[in-house]
Amino acid sequence: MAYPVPGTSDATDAELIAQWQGGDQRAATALVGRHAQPLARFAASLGERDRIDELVQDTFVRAFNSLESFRADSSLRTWLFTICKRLVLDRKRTERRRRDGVELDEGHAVVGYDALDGLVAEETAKRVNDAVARLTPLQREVFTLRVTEGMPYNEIAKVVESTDGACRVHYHNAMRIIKEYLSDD
Amino acid sequence: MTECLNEEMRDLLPLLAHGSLEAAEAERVRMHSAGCAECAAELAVLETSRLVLRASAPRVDVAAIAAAVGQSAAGASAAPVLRVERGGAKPVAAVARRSVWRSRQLLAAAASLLIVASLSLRLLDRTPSSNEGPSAPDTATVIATDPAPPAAAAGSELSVGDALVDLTSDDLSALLTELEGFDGKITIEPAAMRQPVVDTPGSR
Ligand SMILES: [Zn+2]
Repeated sequence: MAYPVPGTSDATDAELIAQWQGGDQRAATALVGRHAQPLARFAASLGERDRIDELVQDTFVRAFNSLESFRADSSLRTWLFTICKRLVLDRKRTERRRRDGVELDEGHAVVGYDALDGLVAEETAKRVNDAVARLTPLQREVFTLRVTEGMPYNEIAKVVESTDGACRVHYHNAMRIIKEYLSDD
Repeated sequence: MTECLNEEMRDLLPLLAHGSLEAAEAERVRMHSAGCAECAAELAVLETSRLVLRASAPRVDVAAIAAAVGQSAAGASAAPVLRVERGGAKPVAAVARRSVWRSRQLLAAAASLLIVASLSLRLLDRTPSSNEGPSAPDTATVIATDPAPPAAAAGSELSVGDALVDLTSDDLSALLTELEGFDGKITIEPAAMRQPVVDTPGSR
């Protein structure tokens, strides 16, 4: 009855899935708490800015409704990110059809830096975002997964549907572009 | 711009910045960067990038999503659909009506109606001063709405405050403790109803 579920914070995703399948809704809640914000960051790296809550919620609903298709040997995180990406692509396709071929802005236009709390100067934050905006969509996706989520290349490769080696190259190319941009004055 | 030739170390720098390396490996990478100007510089860029990317990403209302997904996953009689209005409006978990009702769903709907009705009384009794911390919700209301048709009567609306952005898991736990009456009641549904019988919401 009470939150947190005893052991929830230490439980692996696989354990939480098993608990949820056994009827414990709090396990589902714990899974959402663990993965929702990373999914939102990922969606942002794909250029999504609108209705992110809805997107993240749809990702979980799809995942939970098709848990039987989830293979326990792969990571839940990878699977969630894959579902999220598919939803984003569906959205973009719909949006593109609606706008009749007008290219969508994939840049990082928005941005308030309140959460930085003085850890990074606002000017620096702007420059980093400008640098990231210069990356190709694939470089940005790989770089974000590696840097903000700390994902191993084999997981990234599943999400972006590529190979470990190619992801490694994308990461290092992205890093080079960002470093060069930041050191340019 | 020069780059370190130790590719293994360079590859691990983002994971060091992220904090996802095992202690021994983290120490190894840290030792290397301490003596390698290129890696030290790259690590600084990575740490800054990580902070900035995290800070500039949109915040989602984890508690509202968890509540909506939890209900959906529980096979509640209706699928909660989270709508987020642009322009600072609060996220609202509304309940979408199902067009087809099976007999056990009717039972569940009736049960939910009772639950929601009792919760309304309990939660409406609460004073705002019962908030216990900065991450506590500004409001937490559960409202029984839409009395007809009877089978679809179990509407619920959960609205939570804007202060819920960027919850840590500890914050989330505290919040969920706050709301435990809500979910705790729901879990008394018959076990059979916990199956995910809700359709995946299609593209909206
Ligand atoms: Zn080095």
